[in-house]
Amino acid sequence: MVDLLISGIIYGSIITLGAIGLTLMSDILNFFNFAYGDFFTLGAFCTLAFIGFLPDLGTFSHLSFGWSMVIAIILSIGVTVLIMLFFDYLFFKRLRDLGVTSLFMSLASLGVSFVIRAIINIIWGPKVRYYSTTIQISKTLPFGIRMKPDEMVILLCAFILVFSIFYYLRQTKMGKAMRAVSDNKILAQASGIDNKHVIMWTWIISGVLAAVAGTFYGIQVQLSPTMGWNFLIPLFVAVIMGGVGSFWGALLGGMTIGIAEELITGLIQNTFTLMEIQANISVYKPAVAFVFVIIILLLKPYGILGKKKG
Amino acid sequence: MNILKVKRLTAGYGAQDVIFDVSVHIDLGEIISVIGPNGAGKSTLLKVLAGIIKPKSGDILFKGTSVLGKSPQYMTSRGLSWVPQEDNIFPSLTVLENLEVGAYLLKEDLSGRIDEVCQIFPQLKERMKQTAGSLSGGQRQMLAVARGLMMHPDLLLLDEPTSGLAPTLVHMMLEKIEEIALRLGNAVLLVTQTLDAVRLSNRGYLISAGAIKYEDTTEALLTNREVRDLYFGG
Amino acid sequence: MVNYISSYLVMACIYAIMALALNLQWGFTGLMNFGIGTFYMVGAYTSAILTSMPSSEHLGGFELPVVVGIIGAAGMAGVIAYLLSFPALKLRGGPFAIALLAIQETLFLVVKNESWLTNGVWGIRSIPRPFFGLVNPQHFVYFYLLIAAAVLILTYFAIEKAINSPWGRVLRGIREDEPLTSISGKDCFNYRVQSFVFSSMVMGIAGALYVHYTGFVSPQVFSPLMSTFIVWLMVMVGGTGNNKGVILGAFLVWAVWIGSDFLTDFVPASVATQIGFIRMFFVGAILGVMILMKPQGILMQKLLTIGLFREEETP
Repeated sequence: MVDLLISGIIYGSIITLGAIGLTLMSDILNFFNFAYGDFFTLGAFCTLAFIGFLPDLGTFSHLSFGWSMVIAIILSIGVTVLIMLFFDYLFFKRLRDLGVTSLFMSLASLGVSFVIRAIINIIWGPKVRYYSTTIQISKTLPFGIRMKPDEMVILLCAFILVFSIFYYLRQTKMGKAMRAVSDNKILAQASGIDNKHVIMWTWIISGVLAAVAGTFYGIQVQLSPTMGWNFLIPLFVAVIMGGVGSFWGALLGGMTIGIAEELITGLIQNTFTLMEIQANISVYKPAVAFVFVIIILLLKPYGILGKKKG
Repeated sequence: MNILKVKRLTAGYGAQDVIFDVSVHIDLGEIISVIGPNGAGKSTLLKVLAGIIKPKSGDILFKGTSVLGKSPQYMTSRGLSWVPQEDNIFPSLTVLENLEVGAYLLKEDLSGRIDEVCQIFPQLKERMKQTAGSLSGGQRQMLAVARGLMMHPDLLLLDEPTSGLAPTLVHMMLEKIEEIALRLGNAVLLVTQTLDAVRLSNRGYLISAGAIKYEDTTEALLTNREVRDLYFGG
Repeated sequence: MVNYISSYLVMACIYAIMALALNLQWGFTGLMNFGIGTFYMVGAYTSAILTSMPSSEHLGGFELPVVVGIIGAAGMAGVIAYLLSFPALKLRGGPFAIALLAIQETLFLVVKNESWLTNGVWGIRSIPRPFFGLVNPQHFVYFYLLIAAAVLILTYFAIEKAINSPWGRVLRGIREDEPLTSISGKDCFNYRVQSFVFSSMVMGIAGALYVHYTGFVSPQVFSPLMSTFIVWLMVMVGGTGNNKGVILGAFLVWAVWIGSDFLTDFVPASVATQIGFIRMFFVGAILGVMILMKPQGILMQKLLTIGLFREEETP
C-alpha cells in the first residue's frame, strides 16, 4: 500500500510537471494543444539521442545515469523548446493571425501530433527503449518508505523545478504578465503587455517542462513513440481538474491523478491476483483518470481551482 | 491642439456596426462626458479609441498623429489609458501586482509612481498584498482607476466609473476624478449615466443608437429639457 | 482501375455517413466530440460478433444475418451513447471533447486487451459479406457500393428530415440560445441526449458497414487518426451545418488520403514498415501547407460559414 502511494507520488510529480506546462499553454494560447504529449515524447527521445552522442561519462553512485544524462537533458530542453517555437512560428501563429477558432487550433494541433509521432516512429522505430539497463534496488528510508535512488532524484528535481516555475510566475515581470494575460487578456493588452512575448515565454516554459517530464518518465518507466500521446489523457485530466490556467490546480490535479491511478489500479490488480483472475489492469490507468475527471467536472464545472475568465 | 480628435468613426463587432460617423474632440485638461442610453455605443466608442476594436472607417488623431488601427499596447505607450466598466482588474493578482502591471511599460522605478497613485487612493495602501478579487466593489473601482493612472496617461478613458457603487462611494470617486484631472493635468473622457458625473465635465456628447445626437457644454446639455428627461429622469 | 475507384467510393460513403452523424452532433447540437471512433468501433465489433462464425478465439459466432448485425450495431452504439450521456453531456466544449477522447482510448484498450471478447490485436475474421457467395468476387465491390450508397442516401434524408422537423427546430433553438429555449419549457438536456444517441447509432451503422465490406476487423483500424480526426477534417472541409457539403468533404478528404497511397510507393524499402506513419506525415504536411497558404475565395467563404473563424466579441 505504501509502495503504491510512493510510486503514485513519483508518477504524480511527473504528471504535475506536464500539467503545469499544459495548463499555462491551454490558458494563454486559448486552445487545447493535442501535440503537447508528443513534445513530451520528443524531449525524452532527444535526451536519448544526445546520450548516444556523448562519450560515456560513467554514472553517479547508486543512480542509473551520470553526467551524460545531465548534459543530454539540458541539450534536449534546448532542442525541444526550439522545435516547439518553430512549430508555433510556422504554424500556430499563422492560424492565430487568421483568427481561427479554438476548435480549429485544437484540431490543427491534433494533426501536428500525428506528424511528430510519425517522425519519431520513423527515426527511432516503434520498439520500447530504455536509457539504461541497470536494475536499481530500492533503498529503505524511515517510515517504511522504499524508493529507488533514481526516484529520489526525480522527486527532488521535480520539486525544484515546480518551485522555480512558481517563483518565476510570482516574482518576475514576465511571470506577472503571464498571470495578467491569464486573468484578463484584453486588460493586459490595454496595460501595454505584448501578447507575442507572453506567448513565446509560454512555449518556452511548457517546453522545458515537457522535455524534463518526458525524460523523467523515460527514466522511471520506458520510452516509446506513443508515450506522450498516452500521457495526454492524465495530463488533460489533471489540468481540467485543477482548472485551466491554475498553477496550484495543475499541481493538485497532477498529484491526485498520479496517486489515484497507481493506487486504484494497484489495488484492483492485487485483488484480482488474490482471486486468481488473470488480467492486466495497469493498462487501464487512463480509465481511472477519465472517471475522475467526469466526477470532478460534474461537481465543479470549472475545475477545483478554476476561475471564470475575466 | 486637441489631444484627441475623432473624425467620422464607424465601428462595430463583426458585420454589425454599432457606432456611425462619430466625431469628438478633447483637449488636455478637459473633462468630457459621453452620455446616452444603454446600448447606444458608448463603451464601444471607448474600446475603439483604446485600440481594442478596429474601426471600419474614419480616423483617430491622437496628439496630432493618426492612430487608426493601432494596437492597445501602442495606445498605452503613447499615453492613453482605458478603464473598462467591467472586468477592469486582474482578480488573481494582488493590488500591488495590479499596479505593477499597469506600469508595465514604465522604464523607471515604480515605487515613486505607486506612491503618487496611493496619494489619490489611500485606501489601497493598506491592501497592497491583498488579492484583487477579494476587494469590495468600491475598492475594486478604485484599483481599476489606479491601475489606469500608473503610466501617467495624457488621456484617461473611464467607462462608467461609478456604476454599481453606493452613493457615498460615487461621491468619493467623482472627487477623485476631479483630483486626478487637476493634479495630473490629463484629459478625461468619461462615459457615464450619472448626473453628478456629468456635472464634473466641461462639455458633453450625447450618443444614441450609435450616433451623436447632441454636443454642447455641460450646462447647455443639462438645461436641455429633452436630454434631461430622457436620460436623467428629470 | 474501376475496381480501385469503386473501393474508394465505398469507403468514402462509409466516411460520409460518419461525417453526417458528426455534423448532427457538432453542427446542429454543438457537441464537440473528439471520440466519435468509440461508436464506430462499437458498431463494428458488435456486428462482427453477432454475425461471424464460431471461433474459440473470441466471443461471438452467432452467425446471425448481416441485417441483424447492423441493427445490433446501431442498438449497441445507441445504448452506450445513452449510458454515457448522463455523465458526459453535463460537460461542455473542451472538457467534453477530452472526455470523449478518453472514452475512445479506454475502449481501444479494452478491445486490444480483452482477447476473450475481441481476439485482441488479431481481430475477428470471416465476417460475412452480403452477396459475396452469390457473385463473382471481383464484382462484390460494385454490389457493396450500391448498398453503401443506399445507406448513405437514406441517412442523408433521415437526418435532413430530423433537422427540419419540430424536433430539429428545438435543437437549433438550443444551439442558438439555450436559456431562451429552456425558459419556453423545453428540456434541453433531453434533446441533446436524443441527438447524441441518434447520431451515435448512425456511427454504429457506419462501423457495421465497414466490417461487412472488409470481412475482417481489428483494433488498428480504429486509431484516432482514421476514426476521429479524419472525420472532423471532412466536416470542416465540407462546412459545419451543411449536410451536402459534409458529404462532399468526406469524398474530397478520402480522395486525398487514397492519393497519398501513391506517394508511399516512392519511399525506400527500408522504411516500408512505417508506411502508415509516412502517409500520416504527408497528409498532415499537405493540410498544413494548405492552411498556411491562406485559402482565398471559395474555400475562405466556406471556412467562414463553418464557424471556424472567430466572430469578434459581442458587447
